[in-house]
Amino acid sequence: MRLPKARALIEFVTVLPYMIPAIALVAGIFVIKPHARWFLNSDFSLIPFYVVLSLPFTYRSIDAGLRAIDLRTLVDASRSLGAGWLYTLRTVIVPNLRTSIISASFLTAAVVVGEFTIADTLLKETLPRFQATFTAREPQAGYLLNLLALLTTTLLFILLSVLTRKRDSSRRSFAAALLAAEKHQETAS
Amino acid sequence: MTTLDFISVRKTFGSNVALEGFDLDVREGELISLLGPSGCGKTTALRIAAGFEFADSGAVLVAGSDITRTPAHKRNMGMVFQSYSLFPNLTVANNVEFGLRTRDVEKGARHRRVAEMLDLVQLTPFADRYPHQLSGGQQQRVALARALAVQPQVLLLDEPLSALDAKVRTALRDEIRRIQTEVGITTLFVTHDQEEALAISDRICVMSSGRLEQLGTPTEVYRQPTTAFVARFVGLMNELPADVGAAGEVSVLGHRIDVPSARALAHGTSAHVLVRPEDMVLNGDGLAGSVTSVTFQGAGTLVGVRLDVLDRLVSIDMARGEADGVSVGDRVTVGIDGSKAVIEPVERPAA
Ligand SMILES: Nc1ncnc2c1ncn2[C@@H]1O[C@H](COP(=O)(O)OP(=O)(O)OP(=O)(O)O)[C@@H](O)[C@H]1O
Ligand SMILES: [Mg+2]
Repeated sequence: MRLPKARALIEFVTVLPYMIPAIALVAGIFVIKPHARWFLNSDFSLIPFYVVLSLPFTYRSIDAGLRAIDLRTLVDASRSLGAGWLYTLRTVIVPNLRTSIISASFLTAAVVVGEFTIADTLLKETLPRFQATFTAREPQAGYLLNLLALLTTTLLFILLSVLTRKRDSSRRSFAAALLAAEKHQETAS
Repeated sequence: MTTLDFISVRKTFGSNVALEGFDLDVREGELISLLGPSGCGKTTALRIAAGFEFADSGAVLVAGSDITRTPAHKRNMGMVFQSYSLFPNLTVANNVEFGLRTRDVEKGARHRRVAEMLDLVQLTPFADRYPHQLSGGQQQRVALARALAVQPQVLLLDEPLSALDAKVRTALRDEIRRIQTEVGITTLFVTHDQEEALAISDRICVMSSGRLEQLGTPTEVYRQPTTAFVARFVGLMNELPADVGAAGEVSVLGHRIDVPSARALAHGTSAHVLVRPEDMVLNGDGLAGSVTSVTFQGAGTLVGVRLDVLDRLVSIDMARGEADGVSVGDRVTVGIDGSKAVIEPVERPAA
């Protein structure tokens, strides 16, 4: 908000995961694999990768939310009315970024549900990976499952747009993020 | 007694000096305007009073006690911002109630106070609306009610009218003044609009590049500017080249006038003389020229004259009726009343 140079850098960093194909990321995993086996074998090893992958969506949707309201003035107003930092966070910042936070979480969920490459490499049984193996074994039921997954994601998005409809401000950014997410889904499947 | 004092406050942002040796004493119940061009440090002074910024050196006192290092939420200041600052997720009533909640005022008293405040700004019917359902002027009135609800020691307003259109601006300006006098609150009002400052202030603090230029009543600042900067910044000024003679006599383009303020200057000094449009008379004894514009302004008429000797335009303010029959192209003479003129020696590069 206050540092325009930092903003440019962050924007660049957050789109990196989409400029670099997931497979490159995976190649990186193999390089570090011998050193971090204990970590990669744990069930939590997917978390850092998913954090990186969902960063563009969370960043963009929260950043757009911040731009739509003049948060700095709202925070100043709250403080001059006697509110401390925590109270300001709870009563001013979070409620006014609610739509952004909701859409960020939904988009992250969508990204994670559709992610195949990394999970496959790390041998983690996530939904897309299950879909792939299942389709290979039982093609017809597999396609049905894929269809169901697609429908679920679509429903998620509809739910999301209903939830965020009250406030116009973050909708534009949301639409942009949605497009990006759909593109990601296409490349993943 | 709620007074607000700045004592020799200095504030820098990196290498940029925003305030330097800034002294100001706002008296109990007084409205002082901070007036100055963009970037002169008005907002900075206000934010230091509010506790959003801290002075590098110097002190800020409220009612005599030092609050220089007190964080914003522990001060008792009411602030109205330039941009709309209502909480978008709260209704008008809840916005006004906000500061009462942080102070743990009990519910009954809270509701009474909110009702009282909405009544004060005449927005009672709008209590349940959300900020985006209000006009800009209404939003600023709610912001004012919200700031006043907590009975702050000092009211701070940072160009609260600048986002509004002209008509709403004058109406709200007068309303702010009415409410301020009614509540009797000590107030600091930032503006870069000299007309606004002249209209509502008890005193005006004219600032330039982080310093106080002049502090005085609107009449003093307008009629007796102490520096050429103030003279130029507040109101219209005609500026003419002059040579200082003996005993306050000044020669303006060969025409002799009496300028009392020139007595302090040495004989032979080159100077600029600054004269208000209302201190010029048409067809008096003076400089020849021709009328280039006649602008009707309601209460008076502003006549523009291009002088023959010096290719320069001067403006003359004439009372209603006086300018009847004057039209563009007329040959006229312009007389100068130097009794209130400001004289500024021309700085010459040292020989
Ligand atoms: N947060 C900041 N960081 C860096 N410089 C700042 C900051 N705030 C103000 N300044 C600088 O301090 C000086 C005074 O700024 P200030 O905002 O007080 O001016 P102002 O009189 O309120 O002007 P305006 O009429 O445009 O609002 C300016 O030169 C400005 O660039
Ligand atoms: Mg300002």
